[in-house]
Order: sequence, then structure tokens, then C-alpha cells
Amino acid sequence: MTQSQPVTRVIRILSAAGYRLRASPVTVASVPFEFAALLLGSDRANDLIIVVDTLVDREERIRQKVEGLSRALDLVGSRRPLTVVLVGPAPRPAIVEALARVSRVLAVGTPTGPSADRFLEDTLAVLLPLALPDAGETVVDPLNEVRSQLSADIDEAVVAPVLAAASGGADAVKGALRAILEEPLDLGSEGLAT
Amino acid sequence: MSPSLNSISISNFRSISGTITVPLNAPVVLMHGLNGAGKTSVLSAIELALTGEIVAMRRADANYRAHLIHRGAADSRISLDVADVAGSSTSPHSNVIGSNGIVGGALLSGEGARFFSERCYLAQAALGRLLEIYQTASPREDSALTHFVKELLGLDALDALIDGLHPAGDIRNTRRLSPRYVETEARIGELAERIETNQKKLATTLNDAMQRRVAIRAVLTTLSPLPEPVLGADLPTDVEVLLRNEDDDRRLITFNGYRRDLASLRQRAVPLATTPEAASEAAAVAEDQAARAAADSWRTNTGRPIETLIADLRAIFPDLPSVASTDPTTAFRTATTRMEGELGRCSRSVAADDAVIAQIDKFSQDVEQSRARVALADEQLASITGEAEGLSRALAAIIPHIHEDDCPVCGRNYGETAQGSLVHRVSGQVARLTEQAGRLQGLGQTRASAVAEQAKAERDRDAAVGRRLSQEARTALKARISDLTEANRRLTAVAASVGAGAAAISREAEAQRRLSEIRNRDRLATEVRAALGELCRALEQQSLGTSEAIPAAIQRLETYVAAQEAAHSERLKRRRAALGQYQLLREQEAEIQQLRRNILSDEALKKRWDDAFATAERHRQTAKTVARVAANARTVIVGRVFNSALNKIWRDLFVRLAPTEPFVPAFRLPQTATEAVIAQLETVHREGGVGGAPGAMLSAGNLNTAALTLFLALHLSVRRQLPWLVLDDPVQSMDEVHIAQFAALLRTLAKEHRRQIVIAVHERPLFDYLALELSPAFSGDQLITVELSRSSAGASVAEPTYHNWEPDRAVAVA
Repeated sequence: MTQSQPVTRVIRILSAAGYRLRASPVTVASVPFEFAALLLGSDRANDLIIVVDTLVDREERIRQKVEGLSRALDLVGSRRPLTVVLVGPAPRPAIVEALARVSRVLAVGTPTGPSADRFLEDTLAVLLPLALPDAGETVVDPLNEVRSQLSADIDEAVVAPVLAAASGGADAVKGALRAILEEPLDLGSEGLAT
Repeated sequence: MSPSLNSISISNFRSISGTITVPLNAPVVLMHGLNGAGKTSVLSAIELALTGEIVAMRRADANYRAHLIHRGAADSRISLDVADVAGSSTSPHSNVIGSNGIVGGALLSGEGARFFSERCYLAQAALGRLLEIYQTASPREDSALTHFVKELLGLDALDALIDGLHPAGDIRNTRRLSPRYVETEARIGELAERIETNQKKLATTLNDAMQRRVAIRAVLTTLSPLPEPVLGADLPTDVEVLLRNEDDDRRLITFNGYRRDLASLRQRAVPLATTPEAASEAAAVAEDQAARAAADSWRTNTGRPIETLIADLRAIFPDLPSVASTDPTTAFRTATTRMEGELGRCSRSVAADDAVIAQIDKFSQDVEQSRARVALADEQLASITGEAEGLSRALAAIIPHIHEDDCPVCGRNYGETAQGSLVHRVSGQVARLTEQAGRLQGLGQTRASAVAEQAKAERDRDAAVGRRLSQEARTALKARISDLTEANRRLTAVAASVGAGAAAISREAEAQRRLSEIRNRDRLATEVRAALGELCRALEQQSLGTSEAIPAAIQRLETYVAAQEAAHSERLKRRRAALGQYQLLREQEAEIQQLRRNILSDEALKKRWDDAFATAERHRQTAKTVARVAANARTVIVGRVFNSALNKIWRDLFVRLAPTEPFVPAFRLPQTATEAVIAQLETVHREGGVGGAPGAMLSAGNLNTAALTLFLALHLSVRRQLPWLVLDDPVQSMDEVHIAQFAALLRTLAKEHRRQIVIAVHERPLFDYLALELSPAFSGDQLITVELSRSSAGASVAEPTYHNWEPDRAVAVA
């Protein structure tokens, strides 16, 4: 079976994510099933992914094939989750619903243009590896960050109390600031005008 | 090895009755149970053991600890077994919750506990709160979302720092913050103002004092030459002594004395001005001698007989004044008057006696005539009466003795009989006795009348005799009359010369008086001149010339004295004024000293305040720098966390769960450093461009997804402290598509990112689906499913099932 361009794109993305393409048709419980493409996950995921081109297959036929495959997998006690990637025009909702009852359905349509790959990746994202952000980019202690950005010769007598008060809230900081500002202004009795 | 949860044993905790043990030592633990079976109790028991708190319960009820023990049980027990948790106490960790509280504390330390509560455990209430935050998000600084985000990012402290330091940024805010700051500014201002005022005052006073000194010096110079050379405006050291010199007072007093002396002299000299000076003394002496000679001549020639006459008259009038003792006119007149008076008196006395003699003669004739008539009457009566003659005579004799009605015989009052008068009665009796009663009656009356007249004449004669002068007296009077007449003749003879004498004597007296007057005046003039001469010498004025008139001299000296007095008064006035000025000067000098001291002390004080204020200002600037750095840091942090980390991972997660949703939720960030962190949610279209708020743009299911993915994003965007995700039924309102996606996501987190996942669900199909989706995917991978239920007795039952990896034979991997 020839593979249309969208199917090829899906295969390329999934292959890049570590899924392996299996020759079609595939036989499950002695029943041969033919799809546009069939991919298997390995370590991270043991999905069975079938790619269906709705332009090629009729809707009802697609439903029969997917439901058949699902029953076959159940029959042999397979614990592989089934994912159906629908390429091409979206089927009728009733068909999609029927498919969703037995599998995960990802309808990618026929994306074109410069953002086509991005769209495909978004749609297939659930099957793709998840890139975590660099944990170092999130801050552990914002106050430490502030301290590290202050110059070395800054007056510790001012910095230390306000940073210490910060966890107590703005009023605590205000109190500390006020104390710092007022401390030199306390001249006591010698500051009283005669 | 990473930290892992191994198992938990729970007794009589919340809805769990009895004891259950839930194994947790698998990458994924999937728990199923109907509502009320105890799913949430198991998860909150894990939280309590790890953190010592159940945050979601605490939010709902601060007193939640009292309700943790299962109803009817005495206490609750939790025992959690973990592995490789840094800083944890011994494992298993046990808590006993009794009536006295929770014993055993938290397995995790503060930071770890917080991380678990906020980033690892998604309680149903927390998901609800996330949803609520979405729906009520408003761009306010105190919105729940802002609080939530700040709390999650640890921005509270930073914002507190920025907000707290805000007053340092602007002097007006600093003033509001610190009254003492304001007071200090005011105090410095007051001091500066006072110093300026005092300096102005000092300058004015100094200038004033200098002018005063110059003025005093000028006065001093006019009063007396300065005793020592004094430069410029300085005053001699003994200025007060010089000013207090009393010479002028003394001189003035002296001149006052002179003025009084002159006034006295002027008064004394008044007679000199009024007495005519024409008559010379010589003429007066001559006149006096002439008058005296004339008077003496009169006295010797004419006056002597008069004097003699008067001396003679003194025999009669002992007190007559002599001519010498009075003056001739008075002496003569007095003598004349007295003598004429006496003469008159004597003459009248004699004349009166003569008259009395004449009366006596007449009264004697009357007596004789009356006696003759009585005798005649008696004679006729004797011829008329007979027998009854005697009685008639007797009665007739009685009649003269009857006066009024009193009977001379019996003494009774005839009037009581009311029968006429007694005389008529007796007369009638007489008439009846005699025939010739009428005649007898007439005779009787006549006799009676004659007797009465005789008696009266005798009485008058006797009285007159009594009034007669004695013979001696009468003789003496006559002699005196003779003497007086003689004297009168003599007086009359000299009467003409008396006037001349009086005039001579008067002229003599007048001449004497005038002479005396002239002599007095000369003496006065001499005295006045002598006194004036003395004054001239005393006043050192030109002595009195012989030709200079006294008034002119007095005038001259008075003018001089007045001038001197005026001059000294003037000096005195100036001296006193200068002394007054000097005292003011002294006060001013004291004031100047005081002002200088005040200025110095104020300046010292101001410097202290200035220094203190400068220090405070330095502190303020430092605080400002800290605030600025903090604001920058916040911008950087917020930008970094939200843009690079949070929004990115959130988008990834959201897109995985809602692949068909074109709008993706995101945090909108403050654009500038000064802008406060106001967490605001927005949506971004996948193709670019900003959409509305999530609440407006997303379906309920996608909102739930957004909340869930935000939690996961927050978990994933920080350093992996605890690789656990404990989720309490997070998919309650998801449709099947979302659930499928969510299952895939959980698998990715568990398998790819090694998160240990404990998840509780209550829907059976979901449980089955998740059990399938989360099945072990490789050798060593494991899934534990736990079925929570209750026994018929009501005790909680946890039935675990262990799922191990089995190679998939149905679709073999080629």
C-alpha cells in the first residue's frame, strides 16, 4: 500500500520519537490487519499505533478494521494500548466516537504550509517525548538572587535586616527599613536643641 | 536510587475503618474504589505522614486535626515506609493520632514537606482551587491567582522586599514611613533658620553697637578731651567713669545758687528802682533841720502854754494826752472836748438843783392851801351839825375813810348787800341824820379832797427835797464851773496857734522820714553793689563799674548765669543720654556674646543632625539600590520562570491533553520592572496571536485540563526534589479523548521521567483503561492496582494486584 505524503510525515515524526514502523499487514490472533502504517513503541511505551488515511479507506471500513484489531488484541491478552492516527479529512463524529471507545484517536487532518510539522507534532505530542525545562532556570530563592546581584561593597547594615525581614512580609520590611533609617537619627539628649 | 514510597499502613484514619496496608513500591500505583471507600483517606494519610499536615483540610477547617480519627475508634495510626529520602527519619515512619493530637511529626523536613504539598500532591480540593482561580482571575494584585503564583514561585518574599523598600524610593514616601525622618528634616530646617536669624540679628546688633559707640565717643569728645588716645570707634576703658563724672551737676547746682542769689538781689534792689533819687541827702538834712527848728520854736513859744494848760487840766482829767505825746491838734481837741463836756455836765447839774428848789417852794404852797381848805371845811361842818351832829360828824368823818365798798368800821364788804355803794349809804345816813345832807355831803367831799391834795403835795415836796443837791456838792459844782469856764477861756485864746504847731510838727516828721528813707536807700544800694561785686568775682565776670546801674549789672550776670546753666544742662543732658546709650551698648555687647554662643552651639548641633541625616540618606540610597536590584531580579525571575520554563512546559502538557484546542493557556507577564507582579491568565492561539481569558475561551473540560497541566507544569519546572506525583481523581470531568491523552501523559511521566505515580480514580472504565495504558512496558517495570472496598462488617479492605511486565506476543516487535 502506497503511503501518502501526510502519512509519511506522521511516520517520520513518530520514528524520530523512537517508534518503530512495522510492515503492514500485521497479523494479530491469526487475523491480518492492513493499515497505512503501523508503529510499535518500545521501552518507554508499548503503544501500538496505526496510521489511517481517511482519503483512502472508507469510514466504515476503518471502524471495522480498528474494532477488529482491538478485539484481536483483547483476545490474545495484549496490554498494548491502541492509538489510531487519522490522516486526511476528519470522519463523521459517530465514527470517531466509535474508534475512541476502543483506542486513542489522534486526528491530524491534512496539515499543509510552514506550520504543518508543528501542528502535526502538537497533535501527536502525547506520543512524543516530553522535554522538561532546565530546572536551574526556575528559581529556588529569589532573595539569594537579589543578594548575588548586589555589589560587594554594599552596606550590609542595610541589606541584611531588610532581606531577613522579607519573609515576614512587606510590613516587616518597612519596619526594618524604618529602623535602619531612624537608627542614625536617634541622637538622644545630645541632639536636643538647647 | 531515587526516593520512593514503599507502602503505607493505615488504622482507623478518616473514612478507613480497621487497618489496611497499601503497597506503593511500584512506578505506578493505581487505586480504585467507589466514593467513600477511602481513596482520599489513603492519599491524605500519605501527606500527613510526609508533611505533618493535610493542607487541603486545613484550608477548609483550621481545626481539622480533631476530626482525623475514624468515628468510634480510640486513635489512628499511620505507618509509611519510604526509601532513599534524603533527611528523612527512620523508616517506616509512624504517626499516632490520639485525642491529644498527632504524635510522630513529619517524615519530611520543612522544605521537602512544602515541596510535597505544593508540587507533588494534587488533592481534589487543590484542583478545584486551581479551577476557581481560573474562573475568578482578575488583574488584581491581591487576586487569588496572583497569590497562588507568588506563593508557588517564592515571589512573596521578593515582593515583600520590593514593597517594603518602596518608601525608600521617594522622599515623600520616606517621610510617610518615618515620622522621625520628617522630624529630623524639620529640626535641621529649624536649626538652619535659627542660625540664619541669629546671624542676621548679630550683624544688625554689631552694626548698631558700632554706631552707638561712635555716638558715645562723639559725646565724650564734646564733654571733655579724651584722656588717652583711642583709635577708631573704640571707647576709652574708663568710659563709664567719664560719663558718670558729676562736675556738671555740681556746676549746675552752683549756677542755680547764683541764679537764686541774683533773684534775691533783684528783689532787694526793687526799692532802689522805685524811690525817686532826685532829692539829695544834703537837701533833706537842711529841710529836716529847718522843720525841726520851726517845730522846736513852736514848742518853746506857743506850745509851752498849751502844754501847761493841758497839764493844769490834768488835775481834772488825769488822762489827757500831752502835746509831746501826740500832736498839738489832738491834744488841744481832746482837752477842749473833755472840758466842754464837763462844763456842760456841771452847769446842767446846778440848773437841775435850781429847778428842784423851785418845785419844793410850789409844793409847800400847795400844802398850805390844802390845810387852809380843810380847816375851812371843818369850820363849816361844825356849824351844821346838832345832836346828831356828833354822829353826823362821826359818819362824815368816816366817809373820807371809805374807799370803795370796804367798811372801815366792821371791815365787811358792803358790795355783798348789793344795795349800792357804801359811800352813798353812809352819805344817805348822814343826810338822814341831817337835814342838810347835801351840804354836809359836799363839805365832806371837799374836805376829803383837800386832805388828799394836801397829802399828795406833802409827798411830792418830800420827794423833791430828797432830790436836792447837798450844799457841799452844789458849792463844788459851782467852783468847778468857774474853773472850767476859766480854762475854756484860756483854751480859746490859744486855739489859733494849735494848727500852726501841728503843721510844724508834721513837717518835721515828714522831713525826718524822708531823710531816713534816703539814708536807707543808700545803704541798700551799697550792700547790693557789694553783693554784686562778690558775684562778679565768683562768676569771674567783669566787676561792677561805678557807672553801671544795678539792674543792668544784675541783668548782665543773670544772662551769664542763665547761659551757663543752659550750657551745663545741655552737657548734663548729653552726658545722661550718652550714659543711657552706654548702658544699652553694654546690653548689646552681652547680647552679641550670647548670639555668638547660640550660633556656635546651633551650628554644632546642626552638624550632628546633618551628619546623622546624611547617614540616614546613605541608608536610604542603599535601600533604594536594593529595591531596584530586587525589582530587576523579579523581572528576570518572572521572565525566566514563566517564559522559558512554566509557559513552555504548560503549553506542551496542555497540547498533549487537548490536541484539538487551538487556544493554549498561558501566564501573561508584567512588561516592566516597576510593574507589580499581577498574575493574569490569557490564551495564545497556536498559530500566534493572543486570545481572551481562559475562562472565556476554554470549555469546562479544557479548563480542568488547564488546571491539571498547570499543576504538572509546576511540578516539572523545578528541580526534581521528590519524584512523586500523588493525584486524587484528577479526571472526573474529562471526556474520553482527554482521558486517553492523560493516560499517555502519565505513562510518559512514569516511564520517561521516572516519576512514581500514585493515582486514585473512582470510575471503573477509567480504572481499567489506565491499568491498561500504564501497564509495565519493559522488564522490571511494574504496576500495582489496589481495589479499595469494605467488608460486610464495614471494615476497610485494600486488595492489591501486582502487574509485572510480560513480553507482548500479540504484536511482536520486529
